[in-house]
Amino acid sequence: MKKALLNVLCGILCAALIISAVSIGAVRGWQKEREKALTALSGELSEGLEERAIDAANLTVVVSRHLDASDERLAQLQELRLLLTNHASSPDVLIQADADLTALAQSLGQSLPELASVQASARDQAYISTLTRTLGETTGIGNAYESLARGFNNRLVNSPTGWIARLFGVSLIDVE
Amino acid sequence: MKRVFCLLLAALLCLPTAIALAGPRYPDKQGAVTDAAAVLSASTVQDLRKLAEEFHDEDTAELYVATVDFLDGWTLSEYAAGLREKWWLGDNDLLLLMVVGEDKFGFFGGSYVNRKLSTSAQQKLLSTSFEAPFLRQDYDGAIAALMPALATEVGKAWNESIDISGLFGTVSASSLFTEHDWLVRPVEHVYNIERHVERFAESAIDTGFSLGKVILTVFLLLVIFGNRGKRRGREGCGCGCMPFSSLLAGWGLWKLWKK
Repeated sequence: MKKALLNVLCGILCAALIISAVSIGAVRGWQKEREKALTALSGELSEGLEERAIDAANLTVVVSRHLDASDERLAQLQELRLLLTNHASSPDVLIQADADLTALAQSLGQSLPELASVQASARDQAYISTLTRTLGETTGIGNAYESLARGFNNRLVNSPTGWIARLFGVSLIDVE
Repeated sequence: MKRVFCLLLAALLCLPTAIALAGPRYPDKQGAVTDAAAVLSASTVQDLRKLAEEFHDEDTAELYVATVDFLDGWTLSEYAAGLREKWWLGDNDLLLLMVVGEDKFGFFGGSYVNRKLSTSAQQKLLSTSFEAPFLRQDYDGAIAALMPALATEVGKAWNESIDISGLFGTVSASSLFTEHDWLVRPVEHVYNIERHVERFAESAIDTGFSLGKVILTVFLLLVIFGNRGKRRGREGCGCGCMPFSSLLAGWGLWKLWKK
């Protein structure tokens, strides 16, 4: 009797140890995966944002020669450039800043060439044309991030260890 | 021990991330002249390369010139420091950085160069020779104004003679008179003078009138007509040469005045 009880207790203990090991492993693993997806914009996708921030800085230098210092477009350009270089910003903020920069560059590309001061400077005409064209192209950064996030969500939902991780608090990534 | 190892590993893992996030877009070095902004003419680039070679041959500073469009959000000195590091420029290297899209420029020398040619001297060169044409976007003109002045100052500082003849619009030594030119030139000049004298003499003879001719003519006329007194009864020499002398005098006159 005692022996049987002892055996059952040992069995339960082993099962508990195995279940807890699997759970801990699942939670830690999926948490790392979630973090990797969330920090993609400051990791593998950051190079693209850095390039755009540099181009925005250069466009600011040229535009400031032709727009008044109090012009809101100039202020917006400077603000977007700072946002893109701030890696503490959340992915949503970075993606929105990138999209806003695209729109602003397209707008400047149309309005600046009409200014007399721009028409008087062949050099600045060339710079404005090149920089607004580069910045005005839609980037794939937002789409790349979304696809990373959706990929994570799909794997989390469809794997057994994912179910365990969700039981212990690992949540899906919010994607629009 | 394990803690130290973990800290080291963590530091190593962080390092690539830090480097990936750093810095502007520096151009690759292309010898002494890197015209990344494509604002210098081919002849200016060639002259700059020759000048850099001359500096190198005379054991003075090593000259590097870089043109870029923008500073990519950095200050001029930060950008230049980064560029010097990327290009492995050292104590004896002098970098002229031209940022054409932002109207900024500067000399950035290593410690040895700055001791030989002070930063204030470098600034003075830029403000007196370089700044005005640069701000007018005449980049070739700015280089052409600056480099002869820089060569002079470097020559003084290093006590060397920097030959810039034929560069940046200065007169080339080969275009000056050679010794052969100098020897030949006076000879031709004298030859031309001699020809002029000959032509003058010929033209003088052709026009015909000279003092000698006049005197001779008078004499010959006296010979011809002076004998008439003798024919009126005066005593002559009795040899019968009077007509003959008149004939001779007449022939002489004819020869003298014929053209």
